[in-house]
Amino acid sequence: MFEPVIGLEIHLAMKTRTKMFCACPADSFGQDPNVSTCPVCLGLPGSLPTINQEAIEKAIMFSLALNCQVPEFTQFHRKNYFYPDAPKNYQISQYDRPVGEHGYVELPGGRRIDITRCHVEEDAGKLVHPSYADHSLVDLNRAGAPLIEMVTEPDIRDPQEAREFLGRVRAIAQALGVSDANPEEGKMRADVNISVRRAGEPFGTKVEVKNLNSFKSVQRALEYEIKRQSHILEDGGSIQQCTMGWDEGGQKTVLQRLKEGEADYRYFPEPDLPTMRISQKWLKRVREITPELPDAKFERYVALGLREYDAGLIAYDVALSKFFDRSLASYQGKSQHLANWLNGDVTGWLNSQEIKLSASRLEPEHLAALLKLIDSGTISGKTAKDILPELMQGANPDVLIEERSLKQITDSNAIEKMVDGIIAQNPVIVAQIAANPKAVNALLGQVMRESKGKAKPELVRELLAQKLGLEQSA
Amino acid sequence: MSISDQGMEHLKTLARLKLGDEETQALKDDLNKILAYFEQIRDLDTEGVEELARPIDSFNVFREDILEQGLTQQEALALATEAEEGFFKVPRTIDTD
Ligand SMILES: [Zn+2]
Repeated sequence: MFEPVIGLEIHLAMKTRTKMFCACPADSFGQDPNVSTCPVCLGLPGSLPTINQEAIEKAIMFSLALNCQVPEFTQFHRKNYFYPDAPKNYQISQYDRPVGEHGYVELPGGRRIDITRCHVEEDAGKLVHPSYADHSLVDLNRAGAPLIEMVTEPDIRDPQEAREFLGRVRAIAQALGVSDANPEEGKMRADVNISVRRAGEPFGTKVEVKNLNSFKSVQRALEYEIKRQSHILEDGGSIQQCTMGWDEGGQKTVLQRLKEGEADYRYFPEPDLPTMRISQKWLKRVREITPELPDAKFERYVALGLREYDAGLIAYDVALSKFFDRSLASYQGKSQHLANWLNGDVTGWLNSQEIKLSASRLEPEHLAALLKLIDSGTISGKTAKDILPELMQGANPDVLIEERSLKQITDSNAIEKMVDGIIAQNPVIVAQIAANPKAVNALLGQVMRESKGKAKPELVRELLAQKLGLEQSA
Repeated sequence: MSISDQGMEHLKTLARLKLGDEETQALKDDLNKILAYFEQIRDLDTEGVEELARPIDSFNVFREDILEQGLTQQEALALATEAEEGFFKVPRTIDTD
């Protein structure tokens, strides 16, 4: 009876070599604390920021991919706040002139989520709160790292749609090489704005849940807040505008602070940095170097003859689509066959090992070689499935089948001998076949066993039919 | 125009400052002087004058995305009032437990 109104704010860590305003490494995931700093990102007196051109270009590329308008003029602002993760006591961000505005992302069902804006800013440091202590610890490796912040309109209808939207944004960011966009490493973080209302009524008071570090947490936090807010309103209460955090252990939202007003940040134009003008020429150049987007990949795959379901699975997973493209180039066979293997057995194996494609040692050319061996009848589909785990660990199928003589027996004389033998050994089954033609499968199975799976099944079936005077069924 | 006591409390919260009555009063006096100065500026006729955020007119001054050697952990922490295990040590910022 209450309907949720959801907007998202997504932070993406940009994939550049250096930080936003200094020449320290942008990515120090997994490093010791405070090993990637300099006077600029420590906010030491007398230091001055300089703009990383690559980061601006990536932000432009991303904005264009989100169908944003990129204005001719853009600039940085200071956002003032006092917290130990911000060594300058302000964050350099964008305010009135973001790099991108008024864009949209289209979801699988065709629904459009509008993007309000897309801006560039610097990341804050990381705070650690040891549980035993009366102090906190600060690591400034991440301080000054380049971020894109994108904000949606409150267009998202439910938690599931929020998750779909995040998936689309991640696919776009990864395809462009703008960000690794992996929440596990903090390279994609989402804040959600959520309110509920009775259908047709104006927007209710919204609550912000901050720093959700997985798609699943976004979904869970939204589900939790929809319930919480609906119950309060049903009981005649009112919602207080505030910022919440997500308690992963307790699977609930917890109050962090009452909302600060925007005026409290005392934004003003950053006096230490010049403005930026984005010419048509620059935009044209960015468009030229923009890699193929997931939507375009999807259409290309469907045109190749892939089923939409498989095309979708591959196109919106950047690692998978890169693998698919390379493998297909080497395979030159039926694209759907390759997709079946990739989305079926390969994905199945990865799931069973709980690893990603990138962590396996499967080579696109090896998978292509495997399919060629099947297509040519050199090995059976079953043998292919049997040796796939070894391919996943780097084995070359051509070498494997040579070493283990896994080639299918296609020599009809050899198979005929086995077929004759099995028929002679099984008079009872042979007698049943007249009444029940399916009983022939039992004989087929025995021949296959005798050949250790290497006899070509089509050939065995053909020979059995011949010998037993059966009509060949397809 | 002058700043109210409530305004002072709000500013102290934002700046995370804990000040005694005397210090607060001294700061309030200073701020009121600054505000009075801004009152004078506000009286100027700025009709038709465009905002000037930066004194120089240059734009698109960029740095290439090339790494340079920064500070070592030891150098960075040498400036800290307190450090522990490679981190800057600060008063606790959240309430837990
Ligand atoms: Zn730095």
